[in-house]
Amino acid sequence: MKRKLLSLALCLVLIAATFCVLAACDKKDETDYEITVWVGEGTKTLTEQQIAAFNETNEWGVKFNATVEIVSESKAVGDAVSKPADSADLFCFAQDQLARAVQSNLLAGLNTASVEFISQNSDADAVEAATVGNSVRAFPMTADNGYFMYYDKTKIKQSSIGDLDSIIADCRAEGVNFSMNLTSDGGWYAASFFYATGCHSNWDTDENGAFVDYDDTFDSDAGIIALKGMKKIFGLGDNYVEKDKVSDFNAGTPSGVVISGIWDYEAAKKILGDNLGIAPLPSFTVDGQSYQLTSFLGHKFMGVKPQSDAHKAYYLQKLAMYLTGKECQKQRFEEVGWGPSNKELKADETVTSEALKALEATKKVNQGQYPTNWWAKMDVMTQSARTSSDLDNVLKGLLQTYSATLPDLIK
Amino acid sequence: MEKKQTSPLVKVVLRDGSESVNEQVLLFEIEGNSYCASAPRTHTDNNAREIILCHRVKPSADDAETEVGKQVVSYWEQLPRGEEQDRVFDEFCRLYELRQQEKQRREMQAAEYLKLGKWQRFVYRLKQFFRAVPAWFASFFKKIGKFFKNVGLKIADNAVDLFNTFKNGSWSTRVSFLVMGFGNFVHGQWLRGALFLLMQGAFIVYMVLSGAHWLSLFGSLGEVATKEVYDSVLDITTTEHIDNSFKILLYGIITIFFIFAFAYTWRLNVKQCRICDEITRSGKKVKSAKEDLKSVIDDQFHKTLLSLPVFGIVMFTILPIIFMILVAFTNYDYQHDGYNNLFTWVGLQNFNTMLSFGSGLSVAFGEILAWTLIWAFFATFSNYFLGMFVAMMINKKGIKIKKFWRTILVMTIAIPQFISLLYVSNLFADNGIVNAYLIKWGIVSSPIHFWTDGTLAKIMVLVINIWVGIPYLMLITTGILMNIPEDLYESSRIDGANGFQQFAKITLPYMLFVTGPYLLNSFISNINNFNVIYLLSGGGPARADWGDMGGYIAGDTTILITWLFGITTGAEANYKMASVIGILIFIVVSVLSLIVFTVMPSNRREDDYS
Repeated sequence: MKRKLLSLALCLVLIAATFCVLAACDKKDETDYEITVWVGEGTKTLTEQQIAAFNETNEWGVKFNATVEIVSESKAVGDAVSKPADSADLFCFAQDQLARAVQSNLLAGLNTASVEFISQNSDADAVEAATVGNSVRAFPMTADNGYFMYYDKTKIKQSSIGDLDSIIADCRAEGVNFSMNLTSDGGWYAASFFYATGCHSNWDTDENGAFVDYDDTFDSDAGIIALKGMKKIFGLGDNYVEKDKVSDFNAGTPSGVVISGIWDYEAAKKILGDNLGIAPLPSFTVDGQSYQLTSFLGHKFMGVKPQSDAHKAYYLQKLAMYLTGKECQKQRFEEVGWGPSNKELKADETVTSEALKALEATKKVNQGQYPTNWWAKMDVMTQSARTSSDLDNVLKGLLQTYSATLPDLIK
Repeated sequence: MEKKQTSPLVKVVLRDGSESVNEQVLLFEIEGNSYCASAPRTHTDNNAREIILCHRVKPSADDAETEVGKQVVSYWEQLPRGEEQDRVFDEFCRLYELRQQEKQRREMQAAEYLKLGKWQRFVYRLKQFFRAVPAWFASFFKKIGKFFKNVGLKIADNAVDLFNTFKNGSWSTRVSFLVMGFGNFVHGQWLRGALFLLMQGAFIVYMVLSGAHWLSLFGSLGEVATKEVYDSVLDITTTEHIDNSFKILLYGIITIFFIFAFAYTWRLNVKQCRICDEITRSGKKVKSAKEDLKSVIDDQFHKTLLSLPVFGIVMFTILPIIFMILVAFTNYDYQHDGYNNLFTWVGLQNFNTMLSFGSGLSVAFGEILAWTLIWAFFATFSNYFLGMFVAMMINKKGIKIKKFWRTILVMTIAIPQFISLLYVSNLFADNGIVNAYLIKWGIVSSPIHFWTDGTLAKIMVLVINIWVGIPYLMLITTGILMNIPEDLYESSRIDGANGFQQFAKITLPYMLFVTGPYLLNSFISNINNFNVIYLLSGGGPARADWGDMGGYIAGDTTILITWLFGITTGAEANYKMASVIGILIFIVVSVLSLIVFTVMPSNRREDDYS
């Protein structure tokens, strides 16, 4: 009996010891963190390298075992909303989604050090763009989200650049298309006509990202002029292409002009080679008066997901500072050509490109925060404008319809 | 059958409109039981609720051969002779007479029908079809009512049985009401007892540790989403997630399932104890654990085999369906993701939003539903007939290199639709290669708006769907066509039938009969045919007049399933409305399936096939 009891006791001790050893093996260093990072196309490898560099150099001895995944900046917030518990710890997203991200509580509050870092290193526009209510909510990464004109030098005369009517005439004469997505990209391009005529649409949010007020002057005489300008492009009829893809330069019926941004530079260069022309947005003329098309200027941000572990949250903000810092932004410019939001880099003449220069030369307006559905309302209006007549009262009617739906966006 | 000397409670019902192969059928009820008095054809069903009788009604010696026949004869004999038997007999006769009259009327109708021309016959059949529709719906709702009535009666029966079991059962059975499996232990059935007890233990532990929590929050779907804590040392605010509406809804449903499973097991436990009592009282021996174990691989083997699949179906099919249905009654969307911001119940508000008469959304829904049905109809039948036609052409004698033709068509299947459809979509774009060449060759002066003109886009998706769909139908129908007996064609040829007549009178009826269920399945699949529409036209051209939902603007070729996709992946993901659309799709699909399945020859004349 004694032997049996002894055997049993020994077995128990052995089992207990095994569990202790296993538990000890499983215990990780307190400064090791498993994280997920969502980045845009083309920056996965670079981000992995940058995180590895952070692990090597950071003064706190923190190590992030990061899984870097490619999630388009335009979809990151949408994906995070659909699976909030499983969204990334750090994620890159486009400016138009900031208010939505705040509304959905996807962004951790930034500590004083982070806010100071952003204020000191980013240009004023970027800081303003990253602010919701009175709080800075995300780390600016780029300041290049705007558009300008790519054109085929063999189809569009040099003398026509700068004047929309002349460009349209060249397209007609050459039988080539004009690509500008005015009707199905949420008004991002269409807004250029409204801002050209002096209209504005400003939306105010509270601290929680909820839209509380707006000031929209699209429904005005200037708005009618904007739609008339847009109708000039719609007037191209079959030569108008509702896209912003530079692959249109290579289509069955090729485009002579594509309005797009710096992300398309490499692809456009590949198609047209030396015939690729890049220019600021042109101006258009209505009733003898000229209006300069005005691009939105948006930013890309890096957001930090709210955490339950204070230390992890703290170090994640340190990592975000590093990844959006001067060095990493410069690497991103060199690798994928993204325009920096860092003040010093913006002033650095070596950090520029043909495309960035075109964007720089384009008249721009800072893209504010807009309700998510505002973009869809713009589409509804511009799609109607495409097929409507250009009589003032008809265009006014479209603007009034648009304007009447705006109060619904204040929730 | 319980004998009663008093009122025989005979009620004779003519089975009106019966399509049974047995022409002379009388259905009658005796003391609440339904019986079938049929003509001489042998009835093989030995169910005690259906018996064979001669249509003369009065039982004869022959009828008494079967057990049920004996019961009826016995019933007949126990009726008081004289008035009572005469009354019953007269009732049968009267109804039999009615039956005969009905038969004659139908024969006359058939004669009239034969006089009609082809078109008139079609109109007649169409009228008959639509006349029958209200009856189908009435029957459907009646069945639903009957189902609930039966459920109610069953519950009541169970309650009475439980009461009687408690009242008349042994002490161990009574204890089993509280301690599951106790009765089984007392009767030596330790395995059953242990399983019942295990179930009770698991249920109690689950409810205490988790189930009660989920159930208590199920009514509100959560009260507090997050709690923020400020760490002044690190200057960091951390977020602790408290309630999660998504989890509450999911685990709430699982808990309710578990409660039902427990209630069923508890009922089973009481029943088992009662049976044990009865067996013991009769002096017999109850089944031992060894016998129980043996039975799960012997006479109860079907249960052993089915247990895992049933569990899988409940967990992975029924549970998600119920979850998705319940989402339609919440405000689950991008602003209420359930994790950072809770969602809650909103009743029928979403259905009201979708179906409010005259609202933009209901107009969009109506038009999209109509196009979905048109699309499904044409996509199904165009592929069906053209696929059959191609198969017949290739099978035709005299056609050379048949394998080559088949291979060419099958190549379409070999290339993934994702590639081929996107490619075709670009081919027909306004600035695509087709338009470019049409202009270059001077056939058109300006591009044809294949995708930007609503009507043209609809035609295009239908035509391109034929291209990708025909090969499947060709393969399916080739096999069936080869199975049609050649002598049918030979004899029709001798009778002077031409090719078209052979197709219309032999091939098509045969094909429709065999492929009826496939056609139905194909129609339903096309209602949900996401790929073709999404990859070709993306649902466009967009209809600005419908406005937007979830940041997505539906278009002329949008079908319900692509609409659902658009609003869940749009800028303002709207899961609640997607769920409403899902439910509406289910209703449309199930109603259509029921109607089509009911009228389908393969279903109505099953034994004709042989």
